[in-house]
Amino acid sequence: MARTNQKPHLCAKGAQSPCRNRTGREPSLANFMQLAERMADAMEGQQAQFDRKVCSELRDISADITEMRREIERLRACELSDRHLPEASEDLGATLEATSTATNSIMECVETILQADRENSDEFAVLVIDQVVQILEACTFHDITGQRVTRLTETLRDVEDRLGQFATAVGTRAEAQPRSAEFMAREERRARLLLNGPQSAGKAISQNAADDIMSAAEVEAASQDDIDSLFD
Amino acid sequence: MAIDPSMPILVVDDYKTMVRIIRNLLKQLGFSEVDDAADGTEALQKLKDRKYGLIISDWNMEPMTGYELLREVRGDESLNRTPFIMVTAESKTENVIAAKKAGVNNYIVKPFNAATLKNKIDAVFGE
Repeated sequence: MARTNQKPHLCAKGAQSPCRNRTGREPSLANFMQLAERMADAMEGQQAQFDRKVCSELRDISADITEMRREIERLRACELSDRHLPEASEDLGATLEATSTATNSIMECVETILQADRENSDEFAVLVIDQVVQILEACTFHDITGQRVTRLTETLRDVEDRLGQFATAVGTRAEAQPRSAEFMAREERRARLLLNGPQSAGKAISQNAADDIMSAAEVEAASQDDIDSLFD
Repeated sequence: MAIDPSMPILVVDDYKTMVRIIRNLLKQLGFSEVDDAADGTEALQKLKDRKYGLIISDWNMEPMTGYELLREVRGDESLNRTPFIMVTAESKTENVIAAKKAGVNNYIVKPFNAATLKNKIDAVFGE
């Protein structure tokens, strides 16, 4: 603060000044300066204490970040994003393409047989055998796609293991992460419209069980309100 | 109700291969008039344009599912008597119950065979 020799006008003349000291006299500039210096000394002490706390907190944060970096290194995220995940994506695409190609080939053979003229049985037999051989050839896709799917499964297990270890190491809680609005909307639609998808063996209902439900009388008694409640 | 082999049948499935399979199976069963739609919305439009004797629909489609299509059909006076068979990979008990509550005539779990398809069509038409 710049010092000045001019005496400032501290309070309005004649008014009961809140600035007066205990003796009832107006404080001098020197009094203010002393007060300011005492306050500065007091704050300096508090500042030093505050600085020590901040330093301690920063050291803890630094240690956490170092530990986090170590865990991220263990996650080997670069390896996943550079190699495993692109390979998995490629495997999935190739599997889809191979199954699609094979299915089309098989369908064409089947349709050729179904639409063939059966008047001449010898010619028909030759055509059927030729088409069946082509169907067998098309089925060779299964070996390659099987290997690709196996590799995909291994990659997924690897990712699952690494993420599980990472989550445990850094102490994250799944419920603490908010889901995106898009994800929530998708999940809500799946639940509302019972989009459960294919079930694995043992969980999927059999055709006989479905038939039993279809012939069960009590299900037929459902009201429109019951049906509507499925959509609420 | 006798089955008329010339009745138009609407197959609703977003998977072209499945449409092709069902179309071929229906032809082998003697049905010559088979039309298709890729989802519930397209099916509803076709149902408004033409009278079909049977609807065979998948469940899981975008944007309108087979379940929603079933509800729309059953809620429409001009369509609600059209027989509806659900052919789907949705193989949970709750799906079958929900479909039945919504008024489906029969339910086929994928994968299925020609005999099952024939049996269910026969059952729907009381044969």
